[in-house]
Amino acid sequence: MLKNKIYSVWEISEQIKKAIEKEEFCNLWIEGEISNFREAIGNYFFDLKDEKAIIKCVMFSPSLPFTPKNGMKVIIKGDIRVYEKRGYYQVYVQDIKVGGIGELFMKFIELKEKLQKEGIFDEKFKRPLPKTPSKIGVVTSPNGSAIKDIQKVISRRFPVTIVLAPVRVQGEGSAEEIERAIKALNSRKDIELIIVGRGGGSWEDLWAFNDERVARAIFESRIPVISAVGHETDFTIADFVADRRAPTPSAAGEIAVPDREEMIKMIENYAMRMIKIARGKIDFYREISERIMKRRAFSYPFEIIYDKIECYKKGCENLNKAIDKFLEDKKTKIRFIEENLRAMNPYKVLERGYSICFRLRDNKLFSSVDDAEVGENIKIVVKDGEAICRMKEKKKK
Amino acid sequence: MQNEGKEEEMKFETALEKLEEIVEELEKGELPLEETIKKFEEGIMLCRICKEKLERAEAKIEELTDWL
Repeated sequence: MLKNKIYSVWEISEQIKKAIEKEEFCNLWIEGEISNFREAIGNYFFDLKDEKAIIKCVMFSPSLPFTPKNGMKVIIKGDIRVYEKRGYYQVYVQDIKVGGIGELFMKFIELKEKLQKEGIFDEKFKRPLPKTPSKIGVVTSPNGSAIKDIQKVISRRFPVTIVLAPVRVQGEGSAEEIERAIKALNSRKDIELIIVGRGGGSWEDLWAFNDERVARAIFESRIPVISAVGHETDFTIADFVADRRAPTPSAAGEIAVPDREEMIKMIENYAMRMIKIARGKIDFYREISERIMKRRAFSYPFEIIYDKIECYKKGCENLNKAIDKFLEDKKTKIRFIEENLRAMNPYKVLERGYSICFRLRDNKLFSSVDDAEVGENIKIVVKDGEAICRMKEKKKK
Repeated sequence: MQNEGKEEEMKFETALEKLEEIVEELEKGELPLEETIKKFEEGIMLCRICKEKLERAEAKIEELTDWL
């Protein structure tokens, strides 16, 4: 703080607030007697005092199983904070435990510390709860509200088999019964989850759940355990050891099983998702195969063969035609040659009255007067034979 | 629990886990068609099993006796 500064009331109050409102003044347990108790718009205001001191207390929106009264001996739990508008500090109360429970309370604190040191509350020992247990063991009184609440919630959400281990939940011997019940349920093969609990009651009523034997039985349980003791504000050792703390027995039911309708919807949703995927995949491949099928080879498979046959036929035909034509050409040519030959045959002219003469001596053609001498024999060939004649004279033109 | 292979004996939780696995696998979309169809059929069968088990579930209360 600054010595050479003049603080405003607000500034100094802020500094005091900062000085007081620290972690060390939070979540404290304070024992004392209630006085000057009053209730206003649902909130409690009172002083807590002992022989030597007094402290102001306020409890907003209290949810207690009793209404505090002046003169009551209590243990309160809360944070100390400054109320600067009025210039005082007070306890913002979270919980009030009633009665001459100082001794029990100290036992509770001691056991809690001891077990904490052993590591029994450690997060690493917390087992995961089964999502959908088919059989749930419940350790509670057969006549209490807890079993009714649990049963109601479970049968509404997800009906399963409840195996009730009936025990006394308060009074002499109750802790041992709870311990034995947890062990007995553990010896069965079919139990998948255990709920240990009871309905609301006073601090002393809940005492069995602060018992070391119960705590150890929960810790050693092979089967995961949900604790469900009393009300939202009640904390017991069982709650710290359990794998999961339910604020109430009804809440334990909610934690223990999922909602059936939601599960059915979820499974239907899975089915829809799978159908969508499978349909998508099939459509994809169908499209590909349809595209392939549309190609000529698949849509008109025989046409291709017919085409080929047609092609072959045409080829054959053309070939035949070509051969025919070739032959025809050759024939024509031969006929032409024959005709020509026939036309050129010199004997042919004999028919028309001409004759051909040869020298008889050597059968050479006589076509000039120089070819033969006078007196020489000449052979004259006419159309129907030949005549041998002797040349008498020759005259040259 | 020993006969997990049998459909009838399959626990709801096992079936649900398997189903979740299959849906996830299918949604990755990396499976070939044949495998997709196989997984799809398996998944739908698991859906049926799960739904039947859910619908068949009924609330019962037994009392633990002879343990004290």
